[in-house]
Amino acid sequence: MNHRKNYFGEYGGTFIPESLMSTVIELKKAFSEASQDGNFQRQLKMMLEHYSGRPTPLYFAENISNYVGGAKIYLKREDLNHTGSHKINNVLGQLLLAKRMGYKKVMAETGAGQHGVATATGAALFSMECVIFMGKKDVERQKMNVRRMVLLGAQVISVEAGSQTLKDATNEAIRHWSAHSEDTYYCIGSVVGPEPYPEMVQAFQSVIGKETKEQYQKMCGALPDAVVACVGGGSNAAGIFDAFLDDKVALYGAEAGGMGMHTSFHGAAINQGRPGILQGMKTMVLQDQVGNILPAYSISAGLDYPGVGPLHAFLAETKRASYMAVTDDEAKNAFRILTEMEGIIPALESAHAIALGLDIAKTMGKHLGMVILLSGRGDKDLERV
Amino acid sequence: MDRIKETFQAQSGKKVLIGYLTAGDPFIGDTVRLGTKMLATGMDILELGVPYSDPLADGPVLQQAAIRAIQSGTTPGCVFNMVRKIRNETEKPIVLLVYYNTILTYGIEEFVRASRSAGVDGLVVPDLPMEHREPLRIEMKRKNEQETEFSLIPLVSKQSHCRIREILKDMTGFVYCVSYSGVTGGKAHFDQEVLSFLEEVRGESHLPIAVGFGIRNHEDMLRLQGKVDGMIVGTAIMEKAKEGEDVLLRFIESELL
Repeated sequence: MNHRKNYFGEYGGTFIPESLMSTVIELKKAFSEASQDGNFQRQLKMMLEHYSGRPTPLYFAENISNYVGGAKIYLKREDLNHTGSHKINNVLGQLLLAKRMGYKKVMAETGAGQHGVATATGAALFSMECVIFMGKKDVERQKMNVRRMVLLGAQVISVEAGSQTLKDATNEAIRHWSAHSEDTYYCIGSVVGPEPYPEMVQAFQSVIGKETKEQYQKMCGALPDAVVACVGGGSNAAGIFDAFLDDKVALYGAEAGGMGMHTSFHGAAINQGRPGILQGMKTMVLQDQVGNILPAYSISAGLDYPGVGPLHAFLAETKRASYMAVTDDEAKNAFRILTEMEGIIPALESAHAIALGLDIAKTMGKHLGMVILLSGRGDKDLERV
Repeated sequence: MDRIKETFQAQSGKKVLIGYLTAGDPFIGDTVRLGTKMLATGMDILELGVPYSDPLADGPVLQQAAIRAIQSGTTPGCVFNMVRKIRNETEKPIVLLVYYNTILTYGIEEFVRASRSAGVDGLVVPDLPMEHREPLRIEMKRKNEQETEFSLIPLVSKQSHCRIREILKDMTGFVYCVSYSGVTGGKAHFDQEVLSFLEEVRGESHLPIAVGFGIRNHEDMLRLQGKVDGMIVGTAIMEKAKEGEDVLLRFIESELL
């Protein structure tokens, strides 16, 4: 797990009420100790391998590669993790840490429900009480995940404030946290929130990039020329980018273009936002002229967020990574292509990465290689496409 | 001139009552009249909330007030105009409760200049811990022509402990002690734990100390009498304001003064 100073440039920070400061300071210390503790690392590695099923495969998708006629496309199959997405990587790390710190209760926010399911799963496994905050609209559009969470023993709180999606679920989660931080661990699901969450979640997701790099080198004897991932808060993207930041590898993030960038119905915080404060961090934020946060929109509940992790704001500003918007329609189209040509049903979030990847691969030579991160499986989205 | 300091000095022994209103709720035209009358009724300091879309430290009552105020078109510029009008009527201190993104978006320098020129005496920024406050604090401490003190009000909580001393270092105005962990509008139990916390702050503070969060009535105030220099009432006032101006003013007279 790497830690670089000023990793996010001017982005990041801890813009939270004083009553939570001692909690995050303690967490930062505990995380830093755990990162250096061989026992903790071994335990986490064991759980990732034997419980979640890592390493996940890197798969050469020959059919779609032939279809686009450009770069060879490889899929990093995070959809094959236990619970169906990359979210479990972070949850196992954070809940092992929470246990180590002595917590018996855990709470989380969720958009698409993937992080909620992963957290509820971890809570069941580690015998912890679990509360999940989810926007009312998301509760309605992700019914199956709500059922899974309830089956796993979690209490799902439907948040009716504001846009009733991930942003408001997170606000409500932070409010609950500020009242219960003494006995409840807040397991944030993305590379967002106050320090140390963005770097911690990135560290727990960095296993994706590490594996990808090794697998690709083994298969192709080199590094990929491009890596593509979707970005809501951006935890799967942070996890895979992490291994390639210092390499000559082009990094691409797919933001939610929703109904199009000419409308106000999208979630493209990097492309259309301004620097601001959101949920404890300084980052790129969709906001109006006086700084009120604007509602985001996407067909995919996991990308429906008006901000983005500070890492991505920084990588965009320094031009280390490029972020492009992918519309609902483009994502749905990619969803069909992958399903029909490869027999893999992607999550709508991941379909944004597929869409962007296919577009870019087209423009690349046949001797080049691209990895697209397939962050989750699409069973939950069958009613939406 | 330091209106906050003078107010606490003048009240010596008797508590300073700080009352909160969300600016522009329900309509932009209401705040000047209500704020002026609250101060005329005997309240000592007016705390005006600049409405913000994502108020992390606020419970449902203040969240909904902020939504109504935003819908009525209230911007920071409108709030400065309100302060200017209230300032024409009174020399009592006015502080703004404002989330940091509102200040950043307005521009730190511009926000400070506009606040000063409108007659604001202090800022309470609930999501700006001491780790990030220097750019704003330094701007606020720059000398102005009228030499009016402009205070960044420090917040301390029961979890602050060893942070208290550093939080209060070089600060002016008063200390805002948050009585319980959580958001505004909850129920506080002003028990021994709270009283020890207030004593702890008192021991570290060169400033007057005020307590807020959960103060709803005369009974709460009696329990805190003598332990603090000031009391901050927000949600209870906003609930009464919804029932009408007369109800609110009567409530202030009978329960809070």
